[in-house]
Amino acid sequence: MVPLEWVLVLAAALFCTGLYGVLSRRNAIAILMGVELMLNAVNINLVAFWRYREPTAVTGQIFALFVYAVSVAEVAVGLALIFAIRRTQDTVVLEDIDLLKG
Amino acid sequence: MTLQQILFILVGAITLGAALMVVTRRNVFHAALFLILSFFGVAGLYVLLEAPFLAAMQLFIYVGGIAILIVFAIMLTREVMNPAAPGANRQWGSALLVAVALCGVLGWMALNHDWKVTPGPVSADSMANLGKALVDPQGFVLPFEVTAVLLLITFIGAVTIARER
Amino acid sequence: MEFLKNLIVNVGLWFQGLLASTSLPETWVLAITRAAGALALALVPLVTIFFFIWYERKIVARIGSRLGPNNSGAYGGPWGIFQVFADAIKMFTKEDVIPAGADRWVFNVAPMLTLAIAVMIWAVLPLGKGLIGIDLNIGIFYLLSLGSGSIVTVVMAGWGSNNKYALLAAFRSIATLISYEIPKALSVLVVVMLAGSLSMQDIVAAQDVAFLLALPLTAFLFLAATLSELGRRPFDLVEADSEIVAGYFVEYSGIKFGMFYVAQFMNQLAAAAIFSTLFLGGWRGPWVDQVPVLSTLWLTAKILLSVLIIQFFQYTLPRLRIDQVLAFNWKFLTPLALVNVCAVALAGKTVPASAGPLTQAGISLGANVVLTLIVLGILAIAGRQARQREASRLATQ
Repeated sequence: MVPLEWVLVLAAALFCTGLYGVLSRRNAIAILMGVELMLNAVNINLVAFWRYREPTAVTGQIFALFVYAVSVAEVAVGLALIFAIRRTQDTVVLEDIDLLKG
Repeated sequence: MTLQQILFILVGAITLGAALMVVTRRNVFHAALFLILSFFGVAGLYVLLEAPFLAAMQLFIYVGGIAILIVFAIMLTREVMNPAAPGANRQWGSALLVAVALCGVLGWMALNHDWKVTPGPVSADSMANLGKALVDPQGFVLPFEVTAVLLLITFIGAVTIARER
Repeated sequence: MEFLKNLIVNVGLWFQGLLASTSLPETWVLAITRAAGALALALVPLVTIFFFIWYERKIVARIGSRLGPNNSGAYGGPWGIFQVFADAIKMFTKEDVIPAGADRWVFNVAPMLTLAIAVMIWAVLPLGKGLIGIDLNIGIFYLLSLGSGSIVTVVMAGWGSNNKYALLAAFRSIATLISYEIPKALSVLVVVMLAGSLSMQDIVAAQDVAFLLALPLTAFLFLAATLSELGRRPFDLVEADSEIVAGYFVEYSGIKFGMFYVAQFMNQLAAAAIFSTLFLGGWRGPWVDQVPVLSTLWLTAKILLSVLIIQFFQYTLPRLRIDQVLAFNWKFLTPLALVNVCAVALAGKTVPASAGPLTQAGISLGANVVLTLIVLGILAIAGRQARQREASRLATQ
């Protein structure tokens, strides 16, 4: 069996890759992709702890299912916002959207 | 090195490699394709962790839903993105530092903690238990129904925001 | 004689015994047997596709009062069975064109992925009694998620062609595919409700009465959704030869187009196999317990019948426009599928737990028939109102 530490390290690496994507990309959609990577890493963590600590309960898998539902909701609304911004500002680069800047 | 460990290293390498490509590719459509590859890798990980239902749900929801949404968004906002512009913004150095530091902290904590692993077999009808728990009044029926309302709100909200005036 | 009764399984066991008698270690014997079995399973669709392409062309021709492939050409062969091989050779020898500005990797990988996914479907189909690639406990769900995988290949093909018409066709195809996943999943949900399990072997074992007789409306919903996923008329606007040339694979030529073409036929064959398993009873039939190899023959007969039904829809109905296709899904199929799930669930609750399979099938049939009559009534009233509106509009002009 795969040691639990390996799975946790993989999930941590995936999370930090997503974090780097969110902090350093210019395109708004690329930032959303980084957020998806982070959510996937969280799900891997949940399922790993479910498998290695309490495989007879269902709580781990149910938590992962609800994370799916919430991430779907967030991606849909995020992309709708990006469309609205593109229509008015004509750009999707987040650095150029600075109307509120002093 | 058992077969399972070799498979885990392979699938993990695919997932992590695809994720690194996602955050470094300048061409955002290629980044989306690598994102789809990393979703497949995560589904493989779920199969190795003996959660086949979640693996199929991952493919269904992420690859068949979210990835398609992202690809549509990329195609519809294509012409406003200058392809010669750099993919990363001005603060990529500090972002790299923060990400590596966080990964180090999390990895050190994962390796140096006694997780009290209790490896038992997964029950044979875990999927039936999953279904029953979602509609059990002492289980998760309330989050289930609230999620349905959440998705309805998302539906209406996304259509309203993205609509042409 | 005993060997012949369960032929395919016995051949596999004989092969494994042959390997075990050599001096290979145990795990290697198992691994080689499994790999050989997987190879044989993957070859089943690739080889039978030749027969099924010929079968389809004969049906098309007979529907159109023609003869179809016959021995009048130089390469025809008796009844034209070599026509398909001639087509394949032609496709192999065509020039492989890559359009300028196309994304090379994406363009080249798309047809391979399409074919790979079309073959992967066959891993969970029960091909006979005790004869299945792997009996996943999420069997039918695996098939639904592979449908999502094929959406990605459409995106890659449309984008990688660097052609705005291919991109438009890919958009329309994706819109159709993701819309029709919903009534398909809901009708599969009804079948799973009656069978009590997602595993394909369990669904076949639960069909003492074939689900087509117990759930005709659900079978119709599943068939409509599958026709759309396959790109068959009346939903074949994505590859309509007379409108958008060849849809999202307009830029492909030679063997890559051949891969798309073969993948489309393999998807059709797999859809017929899934329909036979879910609704016609799979490999069940008389004398299956005594002679298990007959189960494969029964399944083949049912697949041929399902392919015939799909072809009848394809070649006798006109094509719908994209807005009609989407309206048909969202305004008719999806509400009907949702109400169908509720109706069958309610009807299932009224069955006493000790009733036999015939009673349960009868009650589900009753629920479906009542629902069909209500829907037909609503459609008739709406049709009459539309006709009256049209007549009054014409009268006042």
